[in-house]
Amino acid sequence: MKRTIFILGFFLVLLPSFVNAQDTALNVIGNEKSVPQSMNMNQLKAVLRGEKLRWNDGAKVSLALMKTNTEVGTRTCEKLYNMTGNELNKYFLALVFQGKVKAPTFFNSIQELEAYVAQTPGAIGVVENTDKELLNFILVDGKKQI
Amino acid sequence: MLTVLSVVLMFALFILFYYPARQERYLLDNYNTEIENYANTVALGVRIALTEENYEGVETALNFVRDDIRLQFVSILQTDTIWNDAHTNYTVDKTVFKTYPEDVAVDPYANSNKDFIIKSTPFSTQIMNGEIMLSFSTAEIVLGRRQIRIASAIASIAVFSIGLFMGYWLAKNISRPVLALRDAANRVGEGDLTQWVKNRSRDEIGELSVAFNKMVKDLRTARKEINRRTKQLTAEKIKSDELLLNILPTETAEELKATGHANAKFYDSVTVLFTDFRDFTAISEKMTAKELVKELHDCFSKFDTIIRKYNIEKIKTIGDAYMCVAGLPATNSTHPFDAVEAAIEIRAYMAEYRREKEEQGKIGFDVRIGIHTGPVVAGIVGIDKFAYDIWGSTVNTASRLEKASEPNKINISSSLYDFVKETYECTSRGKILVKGLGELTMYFLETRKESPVENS
Repeated sequence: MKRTIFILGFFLVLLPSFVNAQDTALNVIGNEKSVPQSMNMNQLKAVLRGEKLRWNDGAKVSLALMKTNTEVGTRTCEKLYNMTGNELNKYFLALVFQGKVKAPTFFNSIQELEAYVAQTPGAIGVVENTDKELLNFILVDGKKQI
Repeated sequence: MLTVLSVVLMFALFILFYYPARQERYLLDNYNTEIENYANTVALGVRIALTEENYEGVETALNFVRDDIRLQFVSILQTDTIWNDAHTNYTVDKTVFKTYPEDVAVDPYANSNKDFIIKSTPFSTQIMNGEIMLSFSTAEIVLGRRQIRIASAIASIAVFSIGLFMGYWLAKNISRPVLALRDAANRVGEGDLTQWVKNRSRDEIGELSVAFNKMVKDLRTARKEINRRTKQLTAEKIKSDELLLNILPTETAEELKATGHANAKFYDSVTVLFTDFRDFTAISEKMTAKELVKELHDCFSKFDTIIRKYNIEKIKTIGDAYMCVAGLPATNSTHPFDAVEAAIEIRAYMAEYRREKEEQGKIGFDVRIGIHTGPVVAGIVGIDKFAYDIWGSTVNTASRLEKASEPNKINISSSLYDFVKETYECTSRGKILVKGLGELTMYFLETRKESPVENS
C-alpha cells in the first residue's frame, strides 16, 4: 500500500512537470516547397538567425515568427535565439539596417502565421506545440517538438 | 540705342549672377529637404519596426537610401541617458549602433561641411532611443552649381547677343532713320531742298519718311513758284523803276520810293536849257499826225541821248518845246559847260537832220535854243501823273531866251556868259527887250575857242 501510494505520489509530482513540458514545447513548420523536412538544431538556428538566406533549391528563406510580446514569441526568443524580445528586434534591426537579411514577419496569431507559412514558398515558422494534421512539421534532430 | 543696351546689359548681368545664385540656393534647399525627408522616413521605419515589429517600412526606406549614389553613410545612433551616482544630473551619450556601409567610421557628433550634408532625425521607442544620421555628398550640388553657372553664362551670352542684335536692328530701323530725318530736316531748314530720305520700311518711320519727302517736294515746288513770281516781280520792279527813273531824277525817285514822297529842293545855281522848233505849227500842218509824232520822237530821242551824256536832267516837253536842266538833282560846278556842250551838240545834230531832210526834198525843223543860269526850286507836285519839275524866274528867263533866239542859234544870258566866256566864242546881242522881264543882255554862243581855258 505504501508502495502504491509512493508510486502515485511520484507520478503526481512528475505530472505537472510533464504537462508543463508539453505546453512549452514548440514546433517548426515550413512551406511544402523548398523547405527541407528535417534539419538539426544548428541548421535551424542558422536559418532563424538569418545566416542562411536561401534553401538548397535557391528559394529565398522567409521567416515567420510570433510577435515577441506573445507567449510563443517569448519562448521562441528564449529557446531558439537565446535573446529577449528587445534583443531580437535590435538584432534584426541591425541586420536589416545593413541589408544583410530580410527581417522576419511577425504575427499576432498562430493562425495567421500558419496560413502565411502554408502560402509562402520558402517560408519557415515557429509555432506552439500542436497536433494539427494540415501543418507541415519540420523535424529538428528527428523530433517534432523542440 | 543706349537704353536698349543698358536694359540688355542689366538683364544679362541678372542672368549671369543673380539667377545662378538664386538657383543654387534653391538647389541647396531642395537637397537639404530631400535628405531630411530620407532621415525622417528611415526614422519612422525604425520606430515602426521596433514598436510594431514590422520591418517593411524600414526596409523600403533603407533600400531607397542605399540606392542613392550620393549617400556617404546612414547610421543608427543610440542615445543613452547616463545619470551620475547621486542621480541628480545626467549626460546624453551617443554611440553608433549600426552604419551602412559598415567600413565607414562615423562621428556621432559630426556636422555638415562643404563636402557633406548631414541630417539627423531622432526616434524614441521602448527598446531604444536614438537618431538616424544621414550623410550625403555635396558633389552633386557642386556639379549642379557648375552646370547652372555654365548654363547662365551661355544664356547671358545669348541674351546679350540677342540684345545687341535687337539694338542693331532698332538702330537700323528706328534710330538711324530718325537721325537721318533730323539731319535732313536741319538741312532743309538751312535752305537745302534737295534732301531725300531713303526708307522703304512700312512702319510709322517709313510713313514719316514718305511724308517728309512729300513735304520737301512741296517746298521745292513752292520755292520754284516763289522764285518764278519773284523774278516776275523783279522784272516788274525794274520796269517800274526804269519808268520812274524815266520821269524822275534818280535821287528823287529813290527818295520817293523810300519815303513815299519827295521834298522840293532849292538849287542856287543850275543851268536851264530850252529848245523850240521855228514855224512848227506851219510845218506840222503839212504832215500827218503820225509823221509829226515820229519827227518829234526822233528829234527828242536824240536830244535825250545827248543830254544824258552830260548828266543833264530832262524836265519835260511841251509840244515842240524841250526843257532840261544841268546841275541837279546832284549839284556840280560844271553845269554851265554841260548845258552849253549839249546845246552845241543839239544844234549840230539838227543841222545834219535838216540837211538830210533837204536831200530828201522835205522840210526840216530849225531849232532855237535858249540857256540861262540861275537858282531854281525842284520837286514833285500832285499825286496823279506827278512829274519832276522846276520853278523860278530862271526857268522863265531861259524860256524867254529861247523865244528871243534865232533858228539854229544858241541864245544865252549874261549870267551864263560870265561862266563860259573864256571857253566859248560868243557874240553879244546887246540888251533885248523881253516880255515881262524888261531888257536882258544876250549872247549868241558860237563855238568852243581853239585854246580852251581851264574850267573854273
